Amino acid sequence: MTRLRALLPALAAAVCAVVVLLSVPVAVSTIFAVPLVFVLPGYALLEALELRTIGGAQRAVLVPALSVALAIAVALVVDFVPSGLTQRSWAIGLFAVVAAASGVAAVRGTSGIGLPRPVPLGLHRLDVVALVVAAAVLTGGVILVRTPLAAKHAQGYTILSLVHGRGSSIVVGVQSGEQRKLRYRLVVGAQNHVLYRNQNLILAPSERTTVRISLSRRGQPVTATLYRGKQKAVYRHVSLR
Amino acid sequence: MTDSVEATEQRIAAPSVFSGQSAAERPAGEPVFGRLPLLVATAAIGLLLVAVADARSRSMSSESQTLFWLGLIVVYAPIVGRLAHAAPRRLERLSLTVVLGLALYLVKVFRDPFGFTFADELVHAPNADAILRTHHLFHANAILEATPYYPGLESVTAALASLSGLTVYGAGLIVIGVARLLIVLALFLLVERLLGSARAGGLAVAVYAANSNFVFFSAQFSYESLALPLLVVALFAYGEWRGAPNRAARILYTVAIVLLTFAVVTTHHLTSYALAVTFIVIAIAYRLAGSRHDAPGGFAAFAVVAVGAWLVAVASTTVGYLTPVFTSAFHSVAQTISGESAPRQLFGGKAGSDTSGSGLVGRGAAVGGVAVLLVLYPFGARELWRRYRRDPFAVVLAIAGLLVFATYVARFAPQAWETANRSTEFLFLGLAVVVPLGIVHLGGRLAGNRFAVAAAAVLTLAFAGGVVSGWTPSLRLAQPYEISAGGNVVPSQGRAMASWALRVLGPGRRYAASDADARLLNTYADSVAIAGRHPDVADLLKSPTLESWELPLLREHDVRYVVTDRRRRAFDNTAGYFFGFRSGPLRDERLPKSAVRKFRRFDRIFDSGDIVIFKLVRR
Repeated sequence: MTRLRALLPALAAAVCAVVVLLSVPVAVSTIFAVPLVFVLPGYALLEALELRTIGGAQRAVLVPALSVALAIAVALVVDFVPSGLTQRSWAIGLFAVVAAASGVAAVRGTSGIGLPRPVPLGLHRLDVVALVVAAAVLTGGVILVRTPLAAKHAQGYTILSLVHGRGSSIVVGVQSGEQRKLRYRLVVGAQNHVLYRNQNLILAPSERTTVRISLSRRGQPVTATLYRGKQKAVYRHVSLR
Repeated sequence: MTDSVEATEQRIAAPSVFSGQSAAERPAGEPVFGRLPLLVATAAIGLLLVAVADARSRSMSSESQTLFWLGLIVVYAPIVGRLAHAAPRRLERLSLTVVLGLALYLVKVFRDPFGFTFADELVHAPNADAILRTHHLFHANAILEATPYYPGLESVTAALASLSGLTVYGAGLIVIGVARLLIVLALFLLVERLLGSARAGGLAVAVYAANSNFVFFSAQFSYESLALPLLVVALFAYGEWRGAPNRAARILYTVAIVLLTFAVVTTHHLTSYALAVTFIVIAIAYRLAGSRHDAPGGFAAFAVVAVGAWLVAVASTTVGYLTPVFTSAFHSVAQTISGESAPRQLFGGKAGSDTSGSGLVGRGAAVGGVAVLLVLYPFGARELWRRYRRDPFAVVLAIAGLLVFATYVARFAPQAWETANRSTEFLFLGLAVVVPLGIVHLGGRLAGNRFAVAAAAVLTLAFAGGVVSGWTPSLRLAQPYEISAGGNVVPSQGRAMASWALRVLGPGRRYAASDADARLLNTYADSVAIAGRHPDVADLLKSPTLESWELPLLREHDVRYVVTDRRRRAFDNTAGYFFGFRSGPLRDERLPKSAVRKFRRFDRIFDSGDIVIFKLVRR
């Protein structure tokens, strides 16, 4: 029974490896990837080395620390394999480490620490309330920090770009990083004649537009100039010589 | 995790200076987790205050420093007060140190909720991306050449990202979170083992959190942030190896130390040297003490061989990277001592990981924090000498703690500041052993609650001083990296430029750019962007005219695109990633237009106002 139980980490690693290789949502694959990287390799190694000889807190440190060390070792070894460090090779490599260590534990009969004794938590009603409040407050904090906020004093920007496209074409891009919806005038010219003109280009913040223009011959000098609203001053300017 | 709690508590409690109080003052029937739920709630409230301060800072409406500090203190002080109290049981103390470590880690995570923005993070993230993209280790890094040859952090991150589908940012947060968990747990257990007291273990973590790099620098996605916790775990394992009850445990810890040493060696150069030196010094201390039993001679030999082999076979570029750093620090200290150069003005340096801009209160906290540790150290050291002088491991750690004060002196030398600051997080491990003894010695006459309050107050001052010394005030809080405008999310100018470069120019392009822009390009445009002074891209981009050496330099490095940025902030690798102020006194200082105009004979393919990209191929 002890020998069979020694193979449990390998079984768990196999399950984790299979799940992460399936096309599952990131949240699900993360739940299975974390133990495969941070728990099972170190745990299996400690079982092979007689885990029961050390205390619970010691295990809590050594399991993730040795898992990290083994993950690094797996990376250095798998790097020599032609296919390299792919999702599949990571899964197989980490599973192999766990399986090997579990096998050693099974042969040595060193597995089996038993489940920890249930600890009498002794939680009072106030403790439960405190934990619920903590969870709620922390969730609120995380939501707050992950929410992009308005910053009216921030200096906005607009990007004007000009690059060669396929063949003799050019590609002009305008992207707004301004604080509000703006009206622009875009003029693209080549050797004193206008190739393209847009007097009423309106972009909202983060919006962008692209214009492709075919030239009569590749390599002729082209300029693109962007004006803001009705202003006469050049706002942005790019050129291909 | 709890099956041996009672046994361990009894085993380690016997010889300690802490033990009498601990046994006598513990109320009967105290629950295993004691006040843990309440203190988790206070920590969460503290974090919410930090989050609000960060939000106000991101919206550029207020610096909100007061709210930030209030949040930090609400996280730190109550937990430390409880750790100082005699009443809690071991499991509560252990849990509290975990809560403290992770809550302070979240302070950094809350600062950067959308992506990495620390200079070193934007060096390591491209390494991890390269592993994911090419499926192999050891790529070139245009900013810090040595980093790809220490792939420990990036390997683990790439493993998690590859298996889970998380981004490098998401996976990196988890990896560094695990590292933070490891360092607080391992330090607790190490000091508990050395001093025979769980209370000392808890206080040790509280003291260690007061080092100037704990809240920000050591929480960033950087190789040292993983290597240092692994070093502490190795030292903890050595402590357990010495006290192993049987041969099986001894073998287990031997394997653990060897594996952890290997992991440290492949993760970070300086940390691996520190580990080797620590084992060597402990082995020498054993010899001086006339004892060889339990000396770590074998571990020291293994560490030296592993470090040497890795350096020669894999990471030989490290020598060229580290030598100038130490040479310049050494010369700077010598010149400052001899009076050849003026000492560095504290609190007046350049922006970045510095304390420039600290107000009077901040400066008072920084000086007060050091003073507190300076006062507590001699009492702790005396107590340690009285009770533990036969333990060479404890004595070596105590001496390391003393060296912390030498690093404070070295901060006066201009070129040695960074080296001194970086070494603090290693040497503080020694203070974490000694200072709890000093606290108990000085406060021993106070009754339980008074002692806890006094200890919390003293350590909070030390902690605040550490935070002040560690990171420049304006960058402790979150900055506007992405903002909301017109119902849409707008990235900062540099970030938008990097996205444009990837989308339009494609990956693998070679750029010369300012420090901040280069890091964004390397991270988000899969490009090779050089920056800084080696080669001298900074002067090339700032100079008003195109000097004769500049184009040959760009050709030598096969640069195809020059990214000019008129914002002086773009040359600051800690502050250049965010939106600037539109107007007012905080508005960006700009380089003269000539710094951009000098490239006018080349194709000008991108213009976002401050940032202009030129393509260097002439037609």
